[in-house]
Amino acid sequence: MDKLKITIQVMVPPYSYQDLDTALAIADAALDRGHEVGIFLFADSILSTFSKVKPVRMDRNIPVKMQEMIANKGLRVDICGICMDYRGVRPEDAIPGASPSGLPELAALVASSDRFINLMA
Amino acid sequence: MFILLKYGPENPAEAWKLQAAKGDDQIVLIQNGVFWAVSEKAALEGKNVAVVKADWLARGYAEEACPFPLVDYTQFVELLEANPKTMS
Amino acid sequence: MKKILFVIYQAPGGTIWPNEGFRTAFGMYAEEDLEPEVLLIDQAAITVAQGTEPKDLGLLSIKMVQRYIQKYDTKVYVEKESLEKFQVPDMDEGYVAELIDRASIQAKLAEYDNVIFM
Repeated sequence: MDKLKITIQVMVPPYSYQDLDTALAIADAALDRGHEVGIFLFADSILSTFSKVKPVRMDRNIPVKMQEMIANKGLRVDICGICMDYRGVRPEDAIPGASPSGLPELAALVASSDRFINLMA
Repeated sequence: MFILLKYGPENPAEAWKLQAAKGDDQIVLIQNGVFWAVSEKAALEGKNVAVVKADWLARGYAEEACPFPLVDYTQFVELLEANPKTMS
Repeated sequence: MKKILFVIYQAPGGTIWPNEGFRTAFGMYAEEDLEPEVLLIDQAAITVAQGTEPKDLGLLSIKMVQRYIQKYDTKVYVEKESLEKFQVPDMDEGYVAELIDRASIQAKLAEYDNVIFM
């Protein structure tokens, strides 16, 4: 299979819902198959990039997992900037490698991606 | 077309997607979407359905009880590779 | 040219998704090669009712999207069966929405590269 550009959009908050876990699992498998993969975080899903998230010890740390996938596997993470402003998350609060972004970037991703899936609200 | 169902039969949007699905579309049940394969099997009849194995097992169902092929995330990506158009 | 259909199924007022669905659709005009359209189904059909306005609850206005629908000439569909189910009494012409029955829109889905439910 040729290398594809795959974008996954997430809309709902981490921990309350499974969507971030699902998106990371799909992204991980797609990266392992050699694809270029991005996650676009929209609305409350942006909270998953908040570096100060501190789950209980037995639970997974979604921001850390995402940060590792960015650093080690080349996952691209775009964060809706207006959604960050709405929720008081500053760019410096986000995990390294996750970029504040916006609808023009989402449009570019939709236009350029070979596959686009949205985990709907 | 690759059609992703994330919510169960109580969700009107998922029911709408299912009604829209054509015979050659690839339906994938993920997260609580797997409940379609439990309580609404008739709605899936004649359709091309796959179920995300991790979500099926994590909801307490036995592998052999699934009426449709179970797929891991790698197979999920393979199905996505095969279908350029998506409804999700 | 990629055709993208944004499907909104939840009501304005109760959720932000109708606003976000329209906002995302308008955002697609940043790319020349994208053609976004919007479809309102189920409870989202009440969006087009003349009296529907979350602003009356102190929430973000939904009617503000009308300006952009008209500016961009965005195609907006509202499903006939959903309008009837939720007893929408009168359509606000500001949405320039086209009434379409379920069978017709579902038959058209193959035209779209991505159908994105919000």
